[in-house]
Formats: sequence, C-alpha cells, structure tokens
Amino acid sequence: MMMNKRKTMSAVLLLLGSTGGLAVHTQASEPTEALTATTFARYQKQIKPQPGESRWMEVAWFLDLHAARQKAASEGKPLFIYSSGGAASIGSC
Amino acid sequence: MGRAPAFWTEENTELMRKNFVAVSLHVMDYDRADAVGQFLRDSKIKLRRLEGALWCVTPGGKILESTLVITDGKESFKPKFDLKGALAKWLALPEAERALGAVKVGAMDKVDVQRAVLAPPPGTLILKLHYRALMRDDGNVRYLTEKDLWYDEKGEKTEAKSVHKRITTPQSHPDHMWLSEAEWKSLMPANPSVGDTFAMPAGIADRLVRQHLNPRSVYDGHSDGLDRASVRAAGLTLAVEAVSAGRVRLRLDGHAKLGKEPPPDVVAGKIASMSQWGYEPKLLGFLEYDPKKQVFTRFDMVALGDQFGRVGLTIGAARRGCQPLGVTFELVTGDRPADRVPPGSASTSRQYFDPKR
Repeated sequence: MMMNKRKTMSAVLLLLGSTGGLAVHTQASEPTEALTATTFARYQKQIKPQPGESRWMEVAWFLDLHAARQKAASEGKPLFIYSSGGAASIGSC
Repeated sequence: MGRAPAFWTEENTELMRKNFVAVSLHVMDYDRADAVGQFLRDSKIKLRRLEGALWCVTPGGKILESTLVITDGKESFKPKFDLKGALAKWLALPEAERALGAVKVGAMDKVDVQRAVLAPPPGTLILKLHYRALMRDDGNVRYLTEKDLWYDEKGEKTEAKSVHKRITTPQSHPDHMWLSEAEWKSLMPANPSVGDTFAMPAGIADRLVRQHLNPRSVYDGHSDGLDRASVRAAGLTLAVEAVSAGRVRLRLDGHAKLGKEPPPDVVAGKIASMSQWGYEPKLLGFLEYDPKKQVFTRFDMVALGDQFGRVGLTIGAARRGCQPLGVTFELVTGDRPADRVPPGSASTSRQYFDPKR
C-alpha cells in the first residue's frame, strides 16, 4: 500500500511538471503488483469464485438428461432443467 | 437468469440440492435422435436457441414450471422462475406420478453422438478455468462492480441495456481446458534435471493462448477461438524446478499479446473502447508430476494482465481504460459430471484438438 501511495504521488508530481497527462496515466495504469511466486496464491484466490458468489456452481449438475431422469425417478424427485444457447448451460457461455 | 444471483439465493440453492435433480442441457439435445431428444420433444421442452430457459419437469415429462411459456403456439419468456411453487406442484401430484420408482426409465439403447455434448476422450487431463474481470483502483486490483461498467466511447457513463441488465453480475466465469493423454505426457521430459528449460509443446501452447486466453470467448460464447492474426506475440516456457523420486516440479512462465494495442485514449483511461479489444497477460504456473504413478498431481496456472474492450465477463460492456483480467487454471480431480463440461467451443465444434483456423 505504501508503495502504491508513492507511485500515485510520483504520478501527481509528474503531472505537475510534465507537458501532458498521457505519461502520467500510462504509468498509473501499469500493474502495481506483478504476478510472481509471492503474489500467485493471492491472485489465484481473487480470480476464483468467492464463497456464495456463484451458488449455481454448488449444485451437482448432470449433463446427461437420461441419467438425470433415472436418478430423479429412483429418488422420487422432479428434474430442474437449464438450457442455454451456444454451449452447455453451465459451461462457458 | 440461469446463473443470476437473484435466483440462486441461499434458500433456492438449498431447495435445489435437497429436492431436485439438476441437469444442464444444450440446444442440440432437442434434436437428438435418441431417447434424450425424444423425451424433450414428447414433453414439449423446447430448448430456446438464443436465450437460456429453465424448467421443472417430472421424470415422466410433465412440465410443472418454466420460463418459456407457449400459448396457442406463441412463445413468451417469463422473467421469474418460481422454484418453491414448482416444488409445491410436484408435491401435489398423485403418488402414482412421483413415488420412488413410479416412472420407469430404462437404459439408453443408443446415443446420438453427433448431437450429444462432447465427452472428454479417455485419458484426457481436465483443467478447470475461471475468468474474472477486475479493476485497478489506486494501485490495487479489486473486484468489479456494476458501477464500473457501461461507458460509451467518449467515456461518458451510460445505462445498461435492459436485456443484459438482469444477468449483469461481475461473477467469476468458468470454463475447461482439455489436454489429450499424448499432450499432457509430452509436457514431461524423459529425464528431467533441475534447471532444464523448454518451450511448451506448440499444439498445447497454441490452444492455451488462442482458445483459453481469449477474453472474447466468454462474450461470443461458442467462439472457435482467436484467429492466428489476433496473436501479436506469445511465449510459454517450462523449467524444471525440483526433482525427487516422488515428484517433479515444473514452473511455467509466459506472456501473450492478443488483439490490438490499446489506443492512447484508452491507455490514458479516458475512454472505453467499444470497437477494439486487446489483452496482454503474463502467465505463471506450477505443475507437479508423480513419476511413479505417471500423473500430474498439480496444474496451477494464473494469467493476469491488462485488457480493454468489450468482453462477456462484463456482459458486453467495456471498462474505461486498460483494466486487469485474470484467468486461473487448476487440475480437476474426481468425477463430477459438471467438471466434464466441454471447453466453450467444443460443445458444438468438434475441432477442439485440431483447430483448422
């Protein structure tokens, strides 16, 4: 955080003394923390789903309707069907 | 609606887990020339082409609830799905329709493999991917909110389009990458020594970059991946970090420059680009291989870099300036059907392992 504040301050100082804002904004938009072995786990955690964020992923989805019907019939449950356009509905869409 | 947090409340999720058997379908299932297609057609579970739809159906094929309503042959879309109401309708059915074993579902005698969702070939190594659009804020990488979206090309704030609004959510987005048995075996040198470095085999690297670092794939959905001209630069290198009797550890370093270079006003953070896109991730990964069992036991990778332009992760909206976009890769273990969802484009295209473009 301290490093970030220093960078922001540098950017402000650069803005005051420069002929244009582009260099400042360019610098400000550069990643402040690179992807390294140290930051790897943190970014990995940040990118992956957070608890409660995507509860639909917590369901034991079937991809095979026939197998789902067999299970539903044997357990006395109804089916919940989710369909989508171009790809499998619980995959990339 | 199918993934909207407004539907997937804690209560609905619990109802789903306890009382329903959930199944994810693809539009091609409707046309299958086998028991699956026949059941859908007989039950009038008409899979929509463009928008997703939800149904609650008995194992015998009676529709209890649906977001797709067909009245006098005309289709309309109901924005809400009443899961509790569907369960109440189910419980109100006579025992003959809902008792255990009341409906007999026999074995499949044949499968329409041309239309069925592609299954991973035997020996396939499956990686689970998650994509997430992030924001840089005062030097920190933070989560995206709806407030960060919907700028026009002049950088002015605009309203979200209503058609997208209902699914607008900065969720992490899943996908899968498949490596054939021959491919993942090719990643491990015959006699690994600490310090050895080698390029990732070309076929895997090409698919990883053009298919799985493609920020547009989650916008276009079933994209066939980037064309080769969209890859301005890419390099993926593996290095042997440790070798012991029970483990070989590899480190992956890489980079890619995809799409266009950001225009100056985008670099300056003044505007959101609606007509162009670009993504420049760095990659880092740690892979572990068990030489005795001859299997990978760890396959963790992260791609992180600046992206601009419209992507599906932001529901077609563009963030202002260049902002971080990350992708994680990790090994799938176990046999959950949901982990066998084919990579984005492969559900309809059969060219996943051998792209023609």
